[in-house]
Amino acid sequence: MDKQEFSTHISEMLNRNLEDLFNHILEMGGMVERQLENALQALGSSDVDKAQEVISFDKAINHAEMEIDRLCAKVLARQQPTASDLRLILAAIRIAIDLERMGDEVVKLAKMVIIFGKHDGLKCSDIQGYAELVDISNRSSVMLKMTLDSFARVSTDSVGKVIREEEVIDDIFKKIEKDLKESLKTSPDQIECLMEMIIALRAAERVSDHARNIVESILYLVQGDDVRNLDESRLNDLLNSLESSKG
Amino acid sequence: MSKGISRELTWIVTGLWIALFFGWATGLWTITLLGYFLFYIARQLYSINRFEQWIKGSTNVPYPPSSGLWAELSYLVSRKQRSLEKHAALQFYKSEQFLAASMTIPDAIISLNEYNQIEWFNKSAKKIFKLKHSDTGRKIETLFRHPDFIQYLKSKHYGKGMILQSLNGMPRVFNLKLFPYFKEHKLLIVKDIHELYNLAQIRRDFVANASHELRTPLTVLNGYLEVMIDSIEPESTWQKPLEQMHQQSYRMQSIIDDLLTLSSMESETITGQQKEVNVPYILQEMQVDAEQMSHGKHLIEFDVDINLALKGFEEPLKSVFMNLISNAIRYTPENQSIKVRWFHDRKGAHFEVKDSGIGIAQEHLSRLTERFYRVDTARSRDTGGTGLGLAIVKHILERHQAKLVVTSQLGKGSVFRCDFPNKAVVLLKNIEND
Repeated sequence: MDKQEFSTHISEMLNRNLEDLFNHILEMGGMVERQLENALQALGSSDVDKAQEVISFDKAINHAEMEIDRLCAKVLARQQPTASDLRLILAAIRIAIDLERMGDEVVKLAKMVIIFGKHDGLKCSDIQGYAELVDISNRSSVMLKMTLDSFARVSTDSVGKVIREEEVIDDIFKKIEKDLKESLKTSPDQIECLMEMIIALRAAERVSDHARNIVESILYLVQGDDVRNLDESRLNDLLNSLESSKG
Repeated sequence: MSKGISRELTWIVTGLWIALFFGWATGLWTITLLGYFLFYIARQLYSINRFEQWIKGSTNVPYPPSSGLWAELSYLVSRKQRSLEKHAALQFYKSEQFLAASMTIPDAIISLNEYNQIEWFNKSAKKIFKLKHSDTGRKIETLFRHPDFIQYLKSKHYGKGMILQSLNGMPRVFNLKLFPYFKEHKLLIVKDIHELYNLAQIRRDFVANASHELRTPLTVLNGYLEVMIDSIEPESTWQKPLEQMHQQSYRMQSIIDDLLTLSSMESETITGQQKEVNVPYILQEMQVDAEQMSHGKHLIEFDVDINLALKGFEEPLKSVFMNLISNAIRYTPENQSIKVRWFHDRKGAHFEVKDSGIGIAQEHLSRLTERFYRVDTARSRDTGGTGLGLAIVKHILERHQAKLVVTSQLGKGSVFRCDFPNKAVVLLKNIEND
């Protein structure tokens, strides 16, 4: 969906609607990006107020998703688009859902900050797994930015990078989850905090999963290939082909 | 006569002579003249065709027609074309030069057209926003998606610009500002003000910390001095030195208090909402304080509009009024009058303190609000001033979008007037109930 492509339709209305949709998704993406950044700041400084702000901002994101749904339904009903336009709409619906879920996961992160804020003298940074949480969240944040940039540029250049990054995050998460489960057995007095940390870690990890989903939607939008649920070898083939076409 | 016509006439006359000669030789006058006429028209049409082809740039016709009017025309056209080309080359060179200059500017510059699409950007913009060359033509909000920025872009009121604490994951302070220019176009300028921001922060912190640290030792000194003054004999030779020490340490304390006020004002602690401030009530209280301060030695007159309140910050405003009134008391000789007025007119609300004191010379007026600036060093220390009062006043008034106007005449007295804008004015209706 290149910048010129919106002007190739005879129907002025369709052009405008598609462009509108495109911009709405990116605007919503920007909101989620911001929300994740704020949550990271709240996490870093144990700032309960900021965390509260993140939670209340989720409403705006939910609202944006509904708006995108409405736009998609409008275009489908009125103009019955085909080919790449249809793919844009299908991808838009999927991306909006993924973004909204991301927002929900970020809210979970913020909630952890608030729960720890209630315990006097207990900082998030003292709990085991905090370093991994920050690492995963930072990586997810960068991933989200890359993903949205590649949607804005309608390019598949950074798809490989995002998918590989997601696998790295999975590994980090699996390792720390195992460690935390061990700690649960050995120190039952900290059980509440450790559980909370596991939930937050999972939320951060889910953010990267959703970012990967979005990248897959972009791939579908640009190339028309459905790349969900590929097995290992075929995925590697795909990534290699993407990288070779880039070079 | 124009060159084209004369060339064409030469051609016609020469042709006519040949035709006449031919007619005379053969005697077929009608046919010859008709032939001449047809030949002339055919030649014109042929030249027109060639000329058109040449102007169009057709490869079949590399040269323009070379005789008569058309030769002259094509010569003129090609001359004009060459000068246009030269002009265009010059323009191109100039615009290239301009672009190259914009590339070297350390601030990020992005030019947007009326649809907020990127037209061009410089090197620092490329670095800060991580733009690619293929991004020209894309909308700025699709690549820089900060919700606050999108709101700012949509607001159309670009006035003050906006400050971002982080940009694209870089934890630095940036100042973003949009400038409308050239029809509907916009220029986005992004400045990295991190160092500046930090520096200001450090300075504010330093003043605040230093003043705080100085306070404690001073309190101790003050306390002991008071004890000593109380405990010595009335006729002791130590009485005067001790009293002076006490006075000076008291003065030092008020300087520190003022410094603290100023630094808290600067560090933007007044971020709270502006409230309705009941100025008449404050001034009523202040009248009592003023009488006490002057020990009844001045004729102090208050003229207050009791229905006139102000939107602003109460404590800072109190300190503005107090500063101006106490200045007037300090610099007015005994038994002279001081007039305080609180009124409003078309331009807004005004707080005016008029004294009949020593006055201020013209050359000092512009520097009065500088920190520690003194008109007459010896005198103002005697009266116990800190040198910070008017600096504080100026700061607070700036925060209220108000202005301080000072007019003065040596020996006759001065007028200090604060002009508050109309939008800050609140008119009280039920003052009796308060």
